[in-house]
Amino acid sequence: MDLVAVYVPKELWPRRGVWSGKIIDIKVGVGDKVSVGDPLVEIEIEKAVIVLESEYNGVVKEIYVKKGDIVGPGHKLLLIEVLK
Amino acid sequence: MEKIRIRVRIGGDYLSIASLVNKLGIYTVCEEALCPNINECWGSKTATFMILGKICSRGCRFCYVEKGAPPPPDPYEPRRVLEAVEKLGLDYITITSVTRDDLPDEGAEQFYWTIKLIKDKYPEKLVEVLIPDFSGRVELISRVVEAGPDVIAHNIETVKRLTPLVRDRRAGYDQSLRVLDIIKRINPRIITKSSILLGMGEEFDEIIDAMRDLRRVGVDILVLSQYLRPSPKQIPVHKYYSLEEFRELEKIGYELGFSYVLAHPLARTSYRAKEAYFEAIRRRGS
Repeated sequence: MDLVAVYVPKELWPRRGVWSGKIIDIKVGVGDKVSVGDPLVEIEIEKAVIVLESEYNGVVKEIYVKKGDIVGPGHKLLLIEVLK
Repeated sequence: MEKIRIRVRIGGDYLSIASLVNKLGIYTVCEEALCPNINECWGSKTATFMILGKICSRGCRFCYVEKGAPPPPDPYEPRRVLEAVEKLGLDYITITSVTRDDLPDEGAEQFYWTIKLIKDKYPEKLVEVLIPDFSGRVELISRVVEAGPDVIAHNIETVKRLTPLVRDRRAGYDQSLRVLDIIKRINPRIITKSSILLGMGEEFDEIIDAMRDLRRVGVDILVLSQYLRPSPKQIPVHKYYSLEEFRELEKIGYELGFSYVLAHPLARTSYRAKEAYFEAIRRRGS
């Protein structure tokens, strides 16, 4: 069983990694199946709303954040069991 | 006012660009300006290099690029840009810079060598530069033209009335028009391009006036896009334009005679630059 944690990507604007934003929506629940490209979490920053998409096909096992949380690059969001 | 949504999925080519520019120590405007298109552009293996360092000598009130006293330019930077071009296999290269009022040549020589190194080795590659105003100095603008870029962009950024409120006091609406005019006078074959950011408090008629002014100095490609406030330190968004409004402005742009108009909330000067160039060439020729 492959479990992967999903983080707010540090690679987004990698050398300007000081931004932060508020979680305004969580698009999945524990037990939900997700496919590559499915929206997982919406984070509102000053400039826009970042819709973070799944990089995996899998099942959501845990959610570590809730609406209203302030997050930044590297913040752990979800745990996904990757389906082969 | 609803904020724009940007979809983000990091992977593949995105990570190869991130790793390469970091390793080579090349700045990108994609990062420095917190560009909303970074995911799309890096994911399709394209980036806009930012030369002359990452600190701008000017303080435009819409821009996220770091401001302050920049260090001297790195003489090896043009070579490293060439290396990035080669490693990424780019055939259309977009380069911009911070403004360097602190340098006697305002950075013109760095532009010259960055373009020239690429063009000398790969004459078939297309190079687009987005230049500062070089204080309107003809000899500095000529130096960039002399290096042989295919497209020179210089942004007017906003309408005439808002220019003193939005741009650094050393910038000027008429000065930017003059820069674009000088480029065409030196070499009418070079494609010129300019962007207007919308949503900073301009009136509709003022946008049309700015578009007319850009056509008057022969600008070929017009970019109209939505201003998005990068952080609370920059001026607030006054208005988010609808897609219909962008479409209307695009239509007017073509009626005014631009060869290509890129009008979209997320359009930026270097966004889909290769497509814009070829469309402009095609329409100009027809």
